[in-house]
Amino acid sequence: MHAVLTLLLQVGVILAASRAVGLAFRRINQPQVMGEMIAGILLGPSFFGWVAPHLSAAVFPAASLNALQALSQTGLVLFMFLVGAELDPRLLRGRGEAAVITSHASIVAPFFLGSALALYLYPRLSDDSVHFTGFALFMGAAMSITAFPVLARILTERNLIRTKVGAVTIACAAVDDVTAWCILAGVVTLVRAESAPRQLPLTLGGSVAFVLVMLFGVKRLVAHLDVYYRNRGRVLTQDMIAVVLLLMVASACVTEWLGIHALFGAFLMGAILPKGGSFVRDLTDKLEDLTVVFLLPVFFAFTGLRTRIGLIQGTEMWVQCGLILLVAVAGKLGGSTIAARATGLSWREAGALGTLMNTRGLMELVILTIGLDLGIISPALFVMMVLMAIVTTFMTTPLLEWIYPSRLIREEADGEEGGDGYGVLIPVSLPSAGPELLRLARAIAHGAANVRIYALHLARVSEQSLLDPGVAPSGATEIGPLEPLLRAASAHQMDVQPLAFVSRDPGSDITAVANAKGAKLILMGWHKPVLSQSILGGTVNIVMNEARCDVAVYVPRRFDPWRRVLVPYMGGVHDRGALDLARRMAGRGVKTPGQTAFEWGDPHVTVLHVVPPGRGDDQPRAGLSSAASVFESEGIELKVVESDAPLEVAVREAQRGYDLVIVGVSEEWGLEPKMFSGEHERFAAECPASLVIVRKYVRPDRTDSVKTNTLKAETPAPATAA
Amino acid sequence: MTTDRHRIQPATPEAPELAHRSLKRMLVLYVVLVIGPFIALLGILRIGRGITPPISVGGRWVLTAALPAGQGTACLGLEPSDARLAFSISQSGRQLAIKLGDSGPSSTRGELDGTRVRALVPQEEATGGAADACPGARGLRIESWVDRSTDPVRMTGELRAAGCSSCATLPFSAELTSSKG
Repeated sequence: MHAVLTLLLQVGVILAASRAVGLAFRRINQPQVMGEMIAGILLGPSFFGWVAPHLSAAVFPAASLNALQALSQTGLVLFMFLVGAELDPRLLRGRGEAAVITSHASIVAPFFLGSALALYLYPRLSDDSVHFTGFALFMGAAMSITAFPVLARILTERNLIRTKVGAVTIACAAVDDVTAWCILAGVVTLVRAESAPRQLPLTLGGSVAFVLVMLFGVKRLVAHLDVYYRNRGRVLTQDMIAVVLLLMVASACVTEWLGIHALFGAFLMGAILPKGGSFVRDLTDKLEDLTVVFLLPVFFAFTGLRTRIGLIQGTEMWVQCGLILLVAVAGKLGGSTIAARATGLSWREAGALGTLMNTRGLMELVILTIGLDLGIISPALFVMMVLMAIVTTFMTTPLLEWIYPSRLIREEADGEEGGDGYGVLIPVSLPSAGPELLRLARAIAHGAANVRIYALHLARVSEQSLLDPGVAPSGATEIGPLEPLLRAASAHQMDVQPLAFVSRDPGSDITAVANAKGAKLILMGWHKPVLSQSILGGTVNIVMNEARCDVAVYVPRRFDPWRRVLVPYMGGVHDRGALDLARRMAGRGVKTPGQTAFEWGDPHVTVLHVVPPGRGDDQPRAGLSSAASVFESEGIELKVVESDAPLEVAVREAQRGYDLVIVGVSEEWGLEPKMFSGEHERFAAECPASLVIVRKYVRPDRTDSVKTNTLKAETPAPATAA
Repeated sequence: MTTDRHRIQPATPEAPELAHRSLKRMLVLYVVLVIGPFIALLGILRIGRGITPPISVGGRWVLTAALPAGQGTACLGLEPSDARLAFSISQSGRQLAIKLGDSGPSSTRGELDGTRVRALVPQEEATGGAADACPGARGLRIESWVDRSTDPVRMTGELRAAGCSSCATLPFSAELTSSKG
């Protein structure tokens, strides 16, 4: 077959397998990269070559592997450049003595144990073409590596990033990464010098000179590039990308020529890029998809093609493999845990830190590839170490869930954040919707004491976000989509706490955050979905069903001041929730004289109470009378209509020039929260005014109290203690 | 953010001592958890220098054998074109994976014992019609000794058909053309 066709076929097979297995692993809560690594192994002789040797030989003929290797190495160079670019020097300092000791111990402990294991493995799995020193140091370095990108992603997904454990772990991982790469550069130099001793002075001298040039020369050059980028209105042109890539290639060539490795040059080039601005983010955004989605799977596949699990034969070799795994876990997990515990973390926190640090993932494969290429490790040892990398990465998520369950994280957050006052959580999906939601929150919460407003942005888990685990340089997730809302809050001198993190399941995460923050109300926006007309479907449905607080969905139709507000009412529990909100907006009870929520004054609220014909007698009538007098005192107008068709009545009333309609979810109003349906949302479809749909939370032990449908003057709790 | 003034305590005479004690504790921890293992690592490197690993035989070899004319070597599964046969050895300690020629993904296992290399190429891997010539043949047995005093490194030994006593052994020599292939 033609060489190009063969390569294209190979890439196609690799991409398909990588996506499929990656998705399968995400379903079992494993990082996608874990699945991609496994896909690579499956494509190699250990599975594909074993199940269908002839087909495997046809797809991956030995003669064609040079092209695949070149593609794989290019991917690695780009990947290491991105790893360097994502490295934030601020993570390396200022985390206190505990982090220093923990990070150093988390390197030294596995390094020591790895080297000690080398005493046993060297005579069994190596040969005299490798000196013991190089072999032992390499084993130490390979044992002490941590997969920083995977680790950061797990921290973010589990909302551990802002915890003490998260902060110390991310600092330790960053220190580990830099240290391990420096050690590895030293090992590579040493090993190469053993075969060519005359090269050593050139390598050492050249490396020092190169680093100095990069730090004091090239770094300034790229800083100028950053200035140019900002002056151009933060537009990253193709010319600028080309310049940076050229510098990266040059840097990689120099380190390769010096006898270290091309990867170190690429990493260093990434590391010296100016951090803190959007230059690096824009650059990595442009390069990341191609690298992570296209080139890295090729690297995994190429690694898989070299991984022959069949090389591990006999009990002795499997024992050696088990020993490697044991030492790797004991060194990294055990060492980090003990160090973290000794410096003051609880056993649970220390265990979580150790578990996270034990994640080796892709970075281990990179190191092992270097070792195999240089002949430092033998093919069988390579296979054993690859298996160790896979097992340690795979075990991270379940072990972490066992040591530090999500439930516990939420409970701890509950303990910290719950409490008094009126908390409103505003999940923001569309940035432009933020200010309108804030306006509504202001209207509802005004006058209440100790109002806490949280703005939440949940970034969907990106399939390929291996390098961008939602961790901004400062360790915080991006809050860019909340900026319009925060600007509006600032203009009204309101204190809003922004929250943002990556989410696999926005519906459940919104309710979890609301619980954790002790919110009394979740205020959601609505924008027309692509595949559905439903307002109360999808995420809204999940939140309405799972939230342990009131939920309001705002459907904006017009952006006028809310001067006239309508509340259709039939007495259902959710109608009462709607009435509560309307009364809050009307400024009931808690304001000081003259205080209003808005420049245009408090809105005029009309309650449209629809009762079945002939039911306006006796006790209900007495209740209405009582309610009317209370409402009158609050400036709320009460309209009572007897009708069998409440929906028709409400729609007709809503069409009489109201600015806002607040309505409870119920069958009577044609508003039922369903996962996949827009059929029952007639009221929403025909109401010309902006709409707030309310679902009131009823504690399970109080369900009996919601059966009454009589409008009483039982007032919602005063806003001060709502 | 609020600050509770009442919680701000004036500095006590014990404060410097507490700080000193904390620093001392951290230093002790650092010595135990970091410097200690680091020094032990130096000891390991020293001990390791005395370990003798297996000799290196990995790489690409070219075998030269004086194949007799006619059917003399049919039972070995070799053909006249195999007079200069390339093979590669992938080494993991004493375990060897030997691949004959460039074709096919599979390789056969071998073992290194000192300077002696032993391997059995199974029947299906052996080239030619060994099975026809000798029905009981299980494959091609390789036994050789590596001599690293020469440059390039040489291996001399013999090939014989396993399970076929009637088949003559064939002496061969091989040269290492590139190491760790």
